[in-house]
Amino acid sequence: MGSILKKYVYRYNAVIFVYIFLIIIFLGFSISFPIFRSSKNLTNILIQIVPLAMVSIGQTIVLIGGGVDLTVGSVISLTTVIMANFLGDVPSVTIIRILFVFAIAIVIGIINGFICNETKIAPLIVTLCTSSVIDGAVLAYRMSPGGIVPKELGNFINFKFGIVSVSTLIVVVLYIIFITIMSRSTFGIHVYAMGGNSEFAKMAGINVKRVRIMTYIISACLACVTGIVIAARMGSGLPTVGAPFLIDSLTAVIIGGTGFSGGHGFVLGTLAGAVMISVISNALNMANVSPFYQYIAKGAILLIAMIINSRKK
Amino acid sequence: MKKIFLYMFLMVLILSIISSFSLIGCKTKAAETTKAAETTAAAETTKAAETTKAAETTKAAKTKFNIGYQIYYSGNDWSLQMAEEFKYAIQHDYADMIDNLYYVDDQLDATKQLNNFDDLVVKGCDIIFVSVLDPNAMNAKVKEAVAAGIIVIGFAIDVKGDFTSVVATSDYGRAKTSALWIAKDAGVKGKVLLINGGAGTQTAIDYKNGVVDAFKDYPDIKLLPETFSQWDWAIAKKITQDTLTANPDLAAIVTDNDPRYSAQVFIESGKPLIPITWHTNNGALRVWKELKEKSGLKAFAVQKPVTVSKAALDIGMKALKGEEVPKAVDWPFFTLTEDKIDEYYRPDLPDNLWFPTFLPDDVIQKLYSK
Amino acid sequence: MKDAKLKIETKKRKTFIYVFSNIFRKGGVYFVFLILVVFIGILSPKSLGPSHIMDMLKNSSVLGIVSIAQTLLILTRGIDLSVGANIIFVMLLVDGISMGNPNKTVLVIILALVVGILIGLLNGILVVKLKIEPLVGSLGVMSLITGISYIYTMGFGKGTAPPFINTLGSGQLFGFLPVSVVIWAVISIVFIIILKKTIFGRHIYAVGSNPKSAAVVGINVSRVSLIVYVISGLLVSLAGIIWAGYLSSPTFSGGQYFPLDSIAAVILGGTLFAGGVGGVGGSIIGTLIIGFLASLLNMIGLSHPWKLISSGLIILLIVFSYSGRSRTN
Repeated sequence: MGSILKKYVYRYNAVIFVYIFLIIIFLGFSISFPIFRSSKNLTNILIQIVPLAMVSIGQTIVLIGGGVDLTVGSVISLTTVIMANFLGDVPSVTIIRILFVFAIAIVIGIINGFICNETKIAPLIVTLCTSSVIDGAVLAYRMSPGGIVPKELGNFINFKFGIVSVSTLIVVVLYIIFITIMSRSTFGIHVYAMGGNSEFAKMAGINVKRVRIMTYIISACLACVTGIVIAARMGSGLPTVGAPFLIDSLTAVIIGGTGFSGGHGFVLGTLAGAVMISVISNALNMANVSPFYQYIAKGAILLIAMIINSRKK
Repeated sequence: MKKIFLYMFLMVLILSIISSFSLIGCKTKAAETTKAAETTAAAETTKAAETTKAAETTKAAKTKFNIGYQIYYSGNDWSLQMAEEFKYAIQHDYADMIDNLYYVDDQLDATKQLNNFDDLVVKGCDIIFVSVLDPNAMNAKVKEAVAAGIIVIGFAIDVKGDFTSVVATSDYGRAKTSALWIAKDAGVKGKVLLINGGAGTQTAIDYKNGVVDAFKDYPDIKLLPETFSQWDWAIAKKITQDTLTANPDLAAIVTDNDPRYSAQVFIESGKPLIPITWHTNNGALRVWKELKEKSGLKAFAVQKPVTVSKAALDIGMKALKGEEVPKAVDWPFFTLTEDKIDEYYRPDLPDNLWFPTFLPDDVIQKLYSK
Repeated sequence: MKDAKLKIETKKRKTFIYVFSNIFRKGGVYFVFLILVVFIGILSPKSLGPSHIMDMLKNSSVLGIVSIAQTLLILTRGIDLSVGANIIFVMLLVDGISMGNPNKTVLVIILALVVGILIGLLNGILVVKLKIEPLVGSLGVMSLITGISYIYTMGFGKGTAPPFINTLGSGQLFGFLPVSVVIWAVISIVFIIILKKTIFGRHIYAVGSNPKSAAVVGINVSRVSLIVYVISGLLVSLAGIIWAGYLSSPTFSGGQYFPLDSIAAVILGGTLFAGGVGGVGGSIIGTLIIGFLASLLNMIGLSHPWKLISSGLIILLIVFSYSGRSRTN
């Protein structure tokens, strides 16, 4: 029994310590600032962590596979704008928009993966360029914020059972799905293998090209779901809403223990990272810390998490 | 073994950082931890009662209020000075009405703005001031908050919704006035460059519409394709340079950015200055004065004033006292012609100071000097 | 018989593409730049006027110096995302501490260079000693330095640069040659020589292409990497000094483009992320491509959305043209 436990602890070392870190911060703020643990605030926190947590899943998977996806912010912006504007007032427009936006996300994922596969260009550059194209396309479609996201969607996603809202449930379900996929399915193993050494993976018979495209499709689709949730919450579409999520998703993934070199990392860790970033903003607000210190706080957490995670190797 | 000690040390470090946070923060933080519990409880019971029509009577009984202010971007000195105008005005005029004062930073991020608004509501704010980044995003939340008895004042950026009041400067109006000056007073004919601010923002769209509408009656004016500097001076300069090279017959520039860098392009290349719409921060005034005398610059300043936050504050405080307030206040933009530069320019004050300002000199010196 | 013929034909085609893309890859950058210049000449001949070229060079000089720093790092399998934060912090220091006073010029220059060395050291220690990945480490340093900048100024940038630094950033020699371009040129020549002619340069390439073999041959890989980080931190802070002189007042906007733009310039220049391949010459061309491309898109009067779309596609095309199709992946 002890040895099995030890094996798990050893394997998930980085993740465990990030969670301990998160719990400490949570406890610390709850004790010092009772308002932080009030039910109203907890409800808010559960809603606030949703977008970043969602989009970071996709980024984790791409990073484990050895790539990086800089298009997530642009895809989120694109999604909100389409969810608010596409086709105007037409019956069952919600379903049409959702299908359309997923279709676009899948295409973007395919394009990202395809270019990474068929050319020697680094994923950093590829996704940098495609994100520029997507940003341009969004602005060409609609340059101003606005539009109307169908109310039914908003009502559904923002509906709350006590302190838990539907969006939080969606995030939990997504994490369960993707943690299972990455740790137990063949696909998951292939992604780790590809990230570790794509040459060996190929020789082992893995269709690296297909796996790569799949990771980018997953990332784009998760960014798309994030965009839908954001659009539902805001009721409107905004071409600049996705930009902050790019850096934050990378930060969340890094805090969670996944690195840029591929082949290692856990989606579970990313959850802690994403929650940490969102919770810190809320906690510092509750603690009345001046806005400027929030920058330092985020930087300090990133550095500490980085150092903790590095010693694991 | 060593690793365990390292982690224990880190945990202790983190706990002490967190507890020291209670010492950092805004001025009214002193009694925060104890007050926090009481105000939350008080706010929650008050809010429950307020959903019925007993709202006004309960509010009037309160004399001290929790006030929340959302800074829409901390990386922009215009936005920060606007916050300082607010801070000074509230400490100066309404000090006895303050129970707690909270400042949060939206970082130009619409999602964060929503989160911050939620946080301010949880902290028991009776009134919240917010510069709305997306015209529709806040509507549902604001409606809910107002229904629960919280006063929500939208300011600086115009927005339509269930706000208690919106005190804003019309971007459309100021753009139109700037453009009309170019067309009428400066008598410009030919190509005009428009350098707008941030692509994809409502401000930018309103600004462009103002310019386009102003030029509608002037067929001699040809507006070049809209450009965006993302409020980055270096980009504004590059745009000016490139446009000037491609169009040596460029006749005027309408810009929502710091105009000094666009003017620099002409000075550096030795070309004669063309009419440019101007800003009224101290540095821009200084350069305007210099260029007017040395190089014959023709300019006209239309400025979104940082003082709009004080106007919003006054309206908000009135509402807190239970008085009637107008649903929308169009705070006038500030205009300045070249003969009045000296009425505002102060060589002893720093460049980044925006006029008009309500701040007294000593406060300004403290803010801008080390 | 048919099979043999097919085999020979396919071999010939492969060889042709192989040879062509080889030539392209070696001299590819310069070739591509030439094509870009030709395009500019056709679409917007006025951009090739001497004064406009000087303007474009001047606007690109700060990015150019940062790209040289980034080249050194990428050559040794490193990278630095904190360059923007470094530049902004140095600019704030130069402006805030001197407040335009010419007597403080030497003081702020020394201070800025020391800050650069410290930041480089910080990045280097994170990567070399703590074995943190370069992208990750520099991201953390970026957050830290940005946070420090904000707290130092509380959001209000103060002061202005002393006159000497203003000349560095915005002044011209002989009436037409921008000082910052001269500085960029000098730094470029210095580092081209270092990389190509000195032992240290060869060590850099060795460490980048295969650290294990380099260690076997006796090169102190950690020391080389650390020195490269310190040098690049120094170069970036030098760029920050020039940046302070280029802008007349301190501002936080504008710094956020440096990390990605400098990385793009280096990659456009033919240096590979894998390390050990590339050089300063390529990065200079990469910087010029970025500058000239942006200028071209401005001058042909594209609408903003189309500028974004075009620049993304064109850069992708350019990098593709000399990195070619992958035969193995």
